[in-house]
Amino acid sequence: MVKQMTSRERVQTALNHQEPDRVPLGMWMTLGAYKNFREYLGLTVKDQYPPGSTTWSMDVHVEPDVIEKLGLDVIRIGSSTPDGQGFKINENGFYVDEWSVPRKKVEYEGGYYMEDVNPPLKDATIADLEDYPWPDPTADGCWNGLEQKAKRLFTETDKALLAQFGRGGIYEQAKYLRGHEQILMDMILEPEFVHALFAKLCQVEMKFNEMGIKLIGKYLTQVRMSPEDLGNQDNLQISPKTFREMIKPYYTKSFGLASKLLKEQNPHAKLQFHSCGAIYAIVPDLIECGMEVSDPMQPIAKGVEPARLKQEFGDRLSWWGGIDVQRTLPLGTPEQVAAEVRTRIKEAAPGGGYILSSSHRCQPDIPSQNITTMYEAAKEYGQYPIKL
Amino acid sequence: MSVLEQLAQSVIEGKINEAVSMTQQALAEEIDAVTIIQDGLAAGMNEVGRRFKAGEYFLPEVMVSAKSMSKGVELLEPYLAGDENSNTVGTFMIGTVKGDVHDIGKNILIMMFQGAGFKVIDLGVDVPPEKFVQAAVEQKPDIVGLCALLSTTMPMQAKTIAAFEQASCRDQFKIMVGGAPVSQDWSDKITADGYAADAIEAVDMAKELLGIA
Ligand code: B12
Repeated sequence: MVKQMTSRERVQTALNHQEPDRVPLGMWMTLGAYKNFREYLGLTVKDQYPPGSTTWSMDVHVEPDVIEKLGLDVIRIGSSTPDGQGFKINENGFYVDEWSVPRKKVEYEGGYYMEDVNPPLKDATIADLEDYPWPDPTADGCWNGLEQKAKRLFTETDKALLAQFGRGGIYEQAKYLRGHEQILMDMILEPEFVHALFAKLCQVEMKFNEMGIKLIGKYLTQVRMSPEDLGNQDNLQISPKTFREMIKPYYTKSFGLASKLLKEQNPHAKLQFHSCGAIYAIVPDLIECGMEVSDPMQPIAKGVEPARLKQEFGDRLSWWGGIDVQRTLPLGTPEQVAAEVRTRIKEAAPGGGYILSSSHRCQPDIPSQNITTMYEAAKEYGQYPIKL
Repeated sequence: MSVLEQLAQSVIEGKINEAVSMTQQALAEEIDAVTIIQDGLAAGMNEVGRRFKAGEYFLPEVMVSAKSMSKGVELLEPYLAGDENSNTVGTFMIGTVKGDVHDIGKNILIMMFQGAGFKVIDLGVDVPPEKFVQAAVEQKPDIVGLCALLSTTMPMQAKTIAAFEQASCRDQFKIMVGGAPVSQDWSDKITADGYAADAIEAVDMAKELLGIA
């Protein structure tokens, strides 16, 4: 029997590739799912919650009351928009985020998403990039109250704190500014433009991280870089070669700075990087850039089977995720959810290096019971030493 | 290499200007437009599809190749006028279901179907069930494809099929479903006629459904 740990010790130990008392638990959710879930737990429900990750992503920071109630281990915090407000509404009725990307509400059964329309840099040239109204990472709005919040959570709870400061990233943000298909074609047709745009976005990402880490780095166990989706379901979006030529130099810079500043504040803290999908071929590159925690572990994307990842990179890399949101959680029975949790823990938890959560945000299609089952099963099967 | 082989090669390599000049040259050699498409542009695009499926090509390569093909097709359009339908193997209508705006996969599907000789009607993204039904009734495609990339919008594929049933026209169309979270099980469950995991399989499945495989 391992002595019982606090949440913070548990996460820290796991991320140091040692076995804590049990597998640490994380949670991420969209607004709609979060409201349903709070109601299910019998907690008060507000109409709106401020955006967690990027302004448009519908992500929320799950609050401490839910985390306490379920016995989870990680609290997420982060920057706000430079004006502290979120979306502005423009003359065409679109919602405009801090990158001046217009978005519209797209409704589905269970909620809505905020989707980009009319990418503002669609026809831009390199010269246009200078005058573009980039978000200002030094604006007060980004940071108001964050230091007090982090300090309070650090002293009043024993949870691990995971922060994201960047508000869009490099490749990912380029998709919204330039258009999804256009930026892909630009990689071949207009590489100079792509480099100029990425260089600019890299500067912004670096400044966000610098500001945030200097402000609250000492309270954190993990810093999550701005999310970047490099993978599809069955392969990378771009070839490893294109990745290495067009993107990796910027990750090297931006992860490098964040990592250096973070370790100065807290030598044990880790750098977490989000990319969806089938990214197997570039995992070694991402590790080289400074990724220490890979988020998410997405079990049914091709080539990133958890057992394989663990076997090949388990000594150098930790993961967040693992419980499938594409099929098991929305469509499975509670028994199937528990069975998947068991399998995942067996594959990914030995030796530490694994924080269990859904493989992407929980959305409103996931029955609340499957969510609680996921965590109950994780506590049952996740006791170290793992004997499954 | 013949001009058509060169044309195919320029599509494979994503050389947009070359695809245009080779198409012009083929016209100058008085090759008929349908042959230029089939043995030049579409032949190239088929190889691109093969390479994408094999993991040799990635999205940028596919998109630039597709652009090369469509520039060529644009030049040929005046020569195709009138006999558009006589040369198609069938009509494929596709859209991404309501609530979902993912369209990269759908657009690749479109290119591959065009390459395979289908006439394609693209309904775009966030398409409500009524719109699928209305468009299908008006334009009479052979196959309707429902794309969903999110587990939250997969149920909309079922709703869309139900809308066809309600309008009593379900049996006039073959309905195919696809997108990352979709599986054969799901397709069976919602009584779709076919599922495919990628664009090449989708084309094969469509031909099978039309009995022209
Ligand atoms: C790019 C992308 C986006 C882009 C889309 C841009 C665009 N214009 O399309 C943006 C950023 C806008 C986006 C938004 C969101 N996304 Co998204 N996205 C992706 C990503 C990374 C790649 C999708 C893609 O383009 N693949 C490349 C193409 C070539 O593949 P494909 O689409 O699968 O298509 C092939 C086959 O499936 C098949 N096929 C496709 N359609 C059809 C149709 C028929 C009839 C047939 C037969 C075959 C077929 O053939 C295609 C070609 O081979 C996936 C990751 C993944 N695992 O798929 C996530 C993913 C789909 N997204 C996801 C999520 C959660 C979202 C958001 C909800 C994010 C958020 N706000 O929280 C929003 C929702 C937007 C909305 N309303 O639709 C999740 C879905 C999880 C779930 N529960 O299902 C995924 C799986 C990521 C993940 N790791 O979990 N996304």
